[in-house]
Amino acid sequence: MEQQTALATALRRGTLEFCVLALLGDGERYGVELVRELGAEIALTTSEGTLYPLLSRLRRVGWVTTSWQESPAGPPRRYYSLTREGATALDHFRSEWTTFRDAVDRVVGTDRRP
Amino acid sequence: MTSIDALVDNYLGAVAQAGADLSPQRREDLLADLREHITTARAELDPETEADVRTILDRLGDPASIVAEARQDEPPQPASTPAANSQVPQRRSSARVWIAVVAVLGVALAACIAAGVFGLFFFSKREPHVERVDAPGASSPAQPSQTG
Repeated sequence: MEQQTALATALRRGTLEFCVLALLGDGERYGVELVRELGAEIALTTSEGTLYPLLSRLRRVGWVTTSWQESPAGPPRRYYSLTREGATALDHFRSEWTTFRDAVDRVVGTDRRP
Repeated sequence: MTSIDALVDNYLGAVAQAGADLSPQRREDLLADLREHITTARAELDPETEADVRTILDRLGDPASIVAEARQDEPPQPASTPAANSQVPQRRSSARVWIAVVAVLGVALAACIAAGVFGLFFFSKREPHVERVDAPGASSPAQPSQTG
């Protein structure tokens, strides 16, 4: 069980941030919205809170940027959006990932499954 | 209302405590992000109940695992004192040059010693070997004469 968790963590690391970038590629989102959308994909996250350190890192490297916007109800929300650098990083990931995934599929035999 | 606020404060307090070893800026960033999440999520509740707020906190998850995630991209030695840090690399680089010089000299010296020792060993081994090659030739004709 512990090894299974370690595997899931290892797979998540390095891929999850690009899932965030891809979601933001569709359009800007505020934190709660973004985190819940990712949280809905069970395989991707452990808990909503663990995504905030990741978002913080993406801000620091400049792949996402944030802006405060008024909300229809309640306090202003901080919206996350993809920067040009983030879009480039996402494009790069997409091509790398396809190559990587195909190679793993071939070697592991997951491409032969129906 | 106050009991709900206390619930939130307790949660953020637990995060702060779990993240005591994070650099102050990372810890503050994390707390600000989580505080903002809670505030926004609470504002979306129409009638706010304690159970709803507990759900928000549950979904955020265990403070320790959130902090563990933040710790992962923390540099090994947080640059808490920039002034001290800027001096250390200079000292280190001059120390590195000295270490490199000493290492090169040491290796050269070691190579000389090794060559010398090897040479002595080789020649001292070879000399008796030359004698031994001669010895059977010298002793074999001597053997019949000794026995006879």
